[in-house]
Amino acid sequence: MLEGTLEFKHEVLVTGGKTYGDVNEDISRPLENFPTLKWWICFLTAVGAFSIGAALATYMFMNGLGVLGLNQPNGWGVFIVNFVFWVGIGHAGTLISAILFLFRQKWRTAINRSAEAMTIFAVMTALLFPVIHTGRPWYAAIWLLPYPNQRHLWVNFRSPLLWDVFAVGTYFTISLAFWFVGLIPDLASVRDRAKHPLRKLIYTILSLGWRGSNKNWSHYEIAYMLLAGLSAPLVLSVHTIVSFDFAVSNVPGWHTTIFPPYFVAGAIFSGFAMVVTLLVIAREVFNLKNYITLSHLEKMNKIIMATGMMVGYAYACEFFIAWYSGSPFEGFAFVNRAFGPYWWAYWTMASCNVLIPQLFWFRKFRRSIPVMFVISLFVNIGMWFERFVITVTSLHRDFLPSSWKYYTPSWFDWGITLGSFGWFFIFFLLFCRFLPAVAMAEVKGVMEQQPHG
Amino acid sequence: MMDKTALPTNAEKLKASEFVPPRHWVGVEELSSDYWANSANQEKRGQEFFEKPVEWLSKIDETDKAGLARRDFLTIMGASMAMASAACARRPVHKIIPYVIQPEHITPGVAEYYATTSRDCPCGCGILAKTREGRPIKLEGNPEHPVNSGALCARGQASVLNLYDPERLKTPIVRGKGEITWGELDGTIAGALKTAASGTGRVRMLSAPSRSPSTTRLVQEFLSPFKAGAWVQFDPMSPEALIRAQELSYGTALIPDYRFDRANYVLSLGADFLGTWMNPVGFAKDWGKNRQINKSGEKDARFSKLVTFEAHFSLTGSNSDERFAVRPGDELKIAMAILSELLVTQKKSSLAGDAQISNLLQSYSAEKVAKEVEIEGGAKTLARLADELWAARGKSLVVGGSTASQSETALALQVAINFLNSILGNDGVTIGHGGEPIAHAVRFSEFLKLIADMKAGLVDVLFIYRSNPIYQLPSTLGFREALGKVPVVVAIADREDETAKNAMYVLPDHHYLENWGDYNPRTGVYSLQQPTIPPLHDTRAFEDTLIVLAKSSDTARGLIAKSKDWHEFLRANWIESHYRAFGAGVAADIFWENSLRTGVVSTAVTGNDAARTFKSAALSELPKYAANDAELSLVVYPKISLYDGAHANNAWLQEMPDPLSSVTWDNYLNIGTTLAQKFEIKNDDVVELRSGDVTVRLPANVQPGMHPNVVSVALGYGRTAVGKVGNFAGVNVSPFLQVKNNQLVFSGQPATLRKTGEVYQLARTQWHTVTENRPVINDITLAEYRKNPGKMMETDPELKMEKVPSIWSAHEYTKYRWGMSIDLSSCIGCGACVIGCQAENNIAIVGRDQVRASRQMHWIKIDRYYSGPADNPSVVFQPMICQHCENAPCETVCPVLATVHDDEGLNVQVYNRCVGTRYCQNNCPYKVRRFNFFDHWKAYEGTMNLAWNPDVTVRSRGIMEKCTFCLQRITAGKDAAKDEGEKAKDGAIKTACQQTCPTDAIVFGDMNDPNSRVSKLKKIESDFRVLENLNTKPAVSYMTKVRNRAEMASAEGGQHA
Repeated sequence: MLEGTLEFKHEVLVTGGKTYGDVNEDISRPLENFPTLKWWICFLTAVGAFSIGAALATYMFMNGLGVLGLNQPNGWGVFIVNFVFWVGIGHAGTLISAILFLFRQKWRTAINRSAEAMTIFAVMTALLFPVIHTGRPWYAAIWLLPYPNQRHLWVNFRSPLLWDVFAVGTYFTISLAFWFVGLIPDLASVRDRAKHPLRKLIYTILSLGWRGSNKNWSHYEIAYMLLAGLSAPLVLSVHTIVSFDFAVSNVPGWHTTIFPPYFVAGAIFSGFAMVVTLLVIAREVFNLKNYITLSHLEKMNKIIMATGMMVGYAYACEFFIAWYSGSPFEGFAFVNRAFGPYWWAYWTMASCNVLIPQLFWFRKFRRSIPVMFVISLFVNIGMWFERFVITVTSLHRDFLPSSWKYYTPSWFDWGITLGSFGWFFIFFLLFCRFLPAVAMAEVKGVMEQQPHG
Repeated sequence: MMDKTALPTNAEKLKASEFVPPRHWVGVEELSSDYWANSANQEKRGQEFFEKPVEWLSKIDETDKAGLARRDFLTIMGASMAMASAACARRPVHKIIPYVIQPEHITPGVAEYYATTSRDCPCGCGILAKTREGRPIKLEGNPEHPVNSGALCARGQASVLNLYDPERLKTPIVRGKGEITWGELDGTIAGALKTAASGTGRVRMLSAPSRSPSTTRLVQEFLSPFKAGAWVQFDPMSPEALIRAQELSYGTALIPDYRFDRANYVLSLGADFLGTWMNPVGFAKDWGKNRQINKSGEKDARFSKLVTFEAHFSLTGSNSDERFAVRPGDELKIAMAILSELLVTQKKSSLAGDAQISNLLQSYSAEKVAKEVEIEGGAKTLARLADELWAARGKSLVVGGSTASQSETALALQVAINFLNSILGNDGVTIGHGGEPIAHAVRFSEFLKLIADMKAGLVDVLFIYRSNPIYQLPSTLGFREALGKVPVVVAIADREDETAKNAMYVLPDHHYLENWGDYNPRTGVYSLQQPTIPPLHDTRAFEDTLIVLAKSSDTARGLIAKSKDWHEFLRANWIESHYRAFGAGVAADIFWENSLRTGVVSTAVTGNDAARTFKSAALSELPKYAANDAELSLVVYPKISLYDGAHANNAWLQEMPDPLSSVTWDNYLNIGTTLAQKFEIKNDDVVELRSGDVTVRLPANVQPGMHPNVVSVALGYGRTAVGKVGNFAGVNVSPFLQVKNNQLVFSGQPATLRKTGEVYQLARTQWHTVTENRPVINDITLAEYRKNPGKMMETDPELKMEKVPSIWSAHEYTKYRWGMSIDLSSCIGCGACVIGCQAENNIAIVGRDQVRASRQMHWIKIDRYYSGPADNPSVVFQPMICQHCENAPCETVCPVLATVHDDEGLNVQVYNRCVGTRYCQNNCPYKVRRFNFFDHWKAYEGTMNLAWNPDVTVRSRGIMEKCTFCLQRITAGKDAAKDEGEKAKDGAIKTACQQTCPTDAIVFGDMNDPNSRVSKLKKIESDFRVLENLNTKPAVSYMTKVRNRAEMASAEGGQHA
């Protein structure tokens, strides 16, 4: 890349003695061959999971939200947990592509493409939930937008839910643009390799007439950097605003100023864990071990450990502030979290997010594929429970003891959650099948210089 | 969305019966008989709509089947989510039909009120039935009525739904043949009557005790031609022991006139007079007059004391200043011990020297009784209570006798109570007996004789009018078998109930809102009942049936022979009976019309009656002391919602939370905490309860405050032929009733328990029962209150947050600002407001499963908190409604501005705009918002749709709703004031909850007006706002709960704030 020439000591980011030609060959292979049996199994499983969710959601639309486990004090449940969870997952992509890019972390090139794709699909998944969790989604989908109308109906700019609409909407748009711009040189490579005319036509259109000229590259680099600059603040803003859904309310356990940084750290934490989960599978399935190397994964694991400890600090800090504030409601909310009826959720969260990632202090574990895979799954589970703990334990026992009631998700909640995973993986598998999963042009930029030939 | 069609008047029917249409008082021209004789006027009334209501209703039934069947679901299951969400957005369209010719006395959109009498229970409260476009939609107490003075209980509020019960019997039926016309039916039964009249004359009438003078006369005249005709009046709930004890003690059988408003000190020995005993609304109203210390603004104001000894934890017990849990039967010992303390130990009364009395009372010494009954504080407590009663003599009142204390010694208890009242000089002061006593020939022995006669084949024709002994009594009495021996059984009922199912002929009766009648609820009060709607179905009034049958069997005598129909009979009898006393100075016709307008005539009770002489012969009823060594006794009690279960098909009542247990839809075994621990029984554990040969299985409710040797179960459940709402809801416990000495015994039977290991989840509306020391309730003793009414606010600085700086500009309320104050010292938790609100605001019913899931829709939730020890806790009720906060947390978080603040301080919910994010619900610290998880309104079937209030939107699924402060009533009140060109007067606008509250605990008004009642109340020191430290600035405030006792409950059992 631009500054490559200034460096005198290279870290080896691509192993196996690959040439530029090998890069194109290896990364384009899944796109150009008939899908493997492994891919079909994964894809059909995802479609099946999505169908279950879609069927249940259809029934829910026909009959009402009563099929869910929600009740009188618990106005929000698994759907909001899923929303925050998926938005959180969506954080890693932009962080890797934008912030690591601006900090010149070259190791990102191996993973940024798939991380960005994951971001986009995660946000698409997340966006389902705020709509379907409303009582009348057919109106909510429109009325939450401030469109001009003769009846002077307007939205409430004081409501954090409206801020969400803008924050997540903006994030999705910028991420999509950023991802697509990054794809252009690679799409052109695929176009050039394409033999089938239809295939060629599609990739021709998508690559926007890329010729690889000096001018092309120069414009591309500038655009990419600008988009990276635009995206960087979004990494902080999106989850900050999502956290406002809770922090701006007056519910004990939600009404805390620590939420924005806490949520952002949690989002990066969960996003990186999800990237590790996906990449461990992808480098296996698509044979990308020379591009997504153990040292890449090790770096990811370091970030997981760091953000995990930030999250752990936030947990402790919340307890301290609840005690220090002297508010009986706050104090109760946190004691109730850890020792109330939902103690199991709290301790699941605490052990998955704080204790288990401590294994990454050891280099051996950081570089062990099975260990990191299991830990990343635990972190995913732990972070889902973190949102569950925040949402449910605060609501189920708030101010008036007379209204307290336990919340149990129904199998509609679980089925539609399963459907959301199906939805996510459908897109992710289609991405692996039709688009280059590793940024070829960028990888070439960080490889050892090779003689032309 | 709802059909706004007015119910058609039924011209055809009016013509056919030559029935003079009801002459309601609106429109002077209608009062002349010429008006309705004019056929053009009659035709006008019928021509705009369907010919018959029945036809119209059947159409409703067809079009309302809008729900999706399972098959439909399977069809669309494959469809995409987008298609599905588009498909479900439309609701069925119902057309609104305007009047072609405007009826003269009806203005569409303006309610008409008719004065009538509530007849679905024996109280006889006066009501004003609010009708819209010809259909009653809401019942409100008649403020002019001396029995209830404007208030109504939950059952009274709900009785409008009984009218629209889709499972009412719609046509007469004959067993084996099905439906039949009235003509055919009359011919058949008249034939049987003719035979009887000329032959043995063995005709019997079985009904609940009649308190309607005209119906009584009608039945008596109807039966008079039959040589062996007899009328058996029977109701298991009627206070027979009390009436007999009056006869024994004072010579005349009557129901005395209890004057709680004159009593400074009330001792209840098992009488749930605030909940289910006799006339609870009137009693609560009167008793509540002495519990208004907060609202009086004077800390030295009169405040009565209520002491209760009871076997079941009743509503009265929960409102007592001192409450003692005893076993059934122990009430008598308490009464005797107090007598003994007064007469033997302290020799207070002039009767103290009487040797016979002393001998009797000696065995009931306070020490002995206190030891056996295990009274807290022992004999000293009884001596103190005796002293307090003596100090309040002439201003105290001792009552007793709900079913919970109807054990074998029920009669003795009543005699002892009479004796106590006489000694204390209460008779004639707080217990009235003057005037004409209510005719009460209620003898359970007569009912037993009827069964014997029926079994012996001595009854030829039996009429059963609204009586259901097969459900209400144990089958061992053999009523069902006896029915089989009677050749002609005619049941006149509102549905084919358990008893009517065994009758040859079942004749559908009018609902009371469709019928004429009169009622004598208490001495000197005569209440009139008039139809508020033409009959919905092909039903006929019981009284008209008798007249028709008498005429067609040529047995008509007396006034029956002179009257064309029941209306004419009633009118003639009314004028004959009351014109002289109450009609001075006006013509008889005018008197009749005036009576219809006011709904009641009465002689005012002023001054005291003379004290009656207590007949010492009655004391022979008092048994010698006998120790009660029962391990476990059973109490059978009526619940405040269902009472005797006659209206178990009323979904409002089924879903009304019990004040104490908060359970809906089921009855259950109440078991104290100690006993529950012993048997290791937890809430919802299914328990097998056995007493005698009867075993039932029902879920347990661990009820703090139950005596450790007593369990109780509620009547009125487990119906099998009431309709789909009430059938098999709960368990029928009437088999536990026993007959001893020709008396029904409800309580005191020995019982055994066995835990089955099964679990049945009761549908509760409140799980957590203590306040956790949160600033929710203020609770203070009277002595402390007299020193400093605002003490609680000082001890908890978090309670008062008046001056909080704000960076926002405050709301401006230029004209009105609505606010409310709820007095926790007056509120008795009876739940009348909950049902009143439900009727007024079209609140849906959700069913048992949805209550279990905590999705009940009631806008008023009466929170109940306990304090003190678990075996005898103190209770406080707090009606929790939308607080209409000035800084409303719900308003800021709604993304679509569906909940906004209006310029009168109301927090209004815009149903059409709401998309259902439920964020407002989360952010509401009071949790008063209710989300429509399903289209709950669809539970209203067929005729029930007529009960909707057209002024209030019926909410579809997916949207949030909550208390509106009865916005439609505010609007109506403002409109009325606007016509006068002024602001609405203070008190002119009443919310539905306030209107029906029996103790006037709720005050609503304009806080902008410094002279309004609510403004003044909010300045009183004992007025507080819940969770004030959140700075939500609620428009609803509460007033401290004051308890007239020496000290607050000790801290041993989780004392709250």
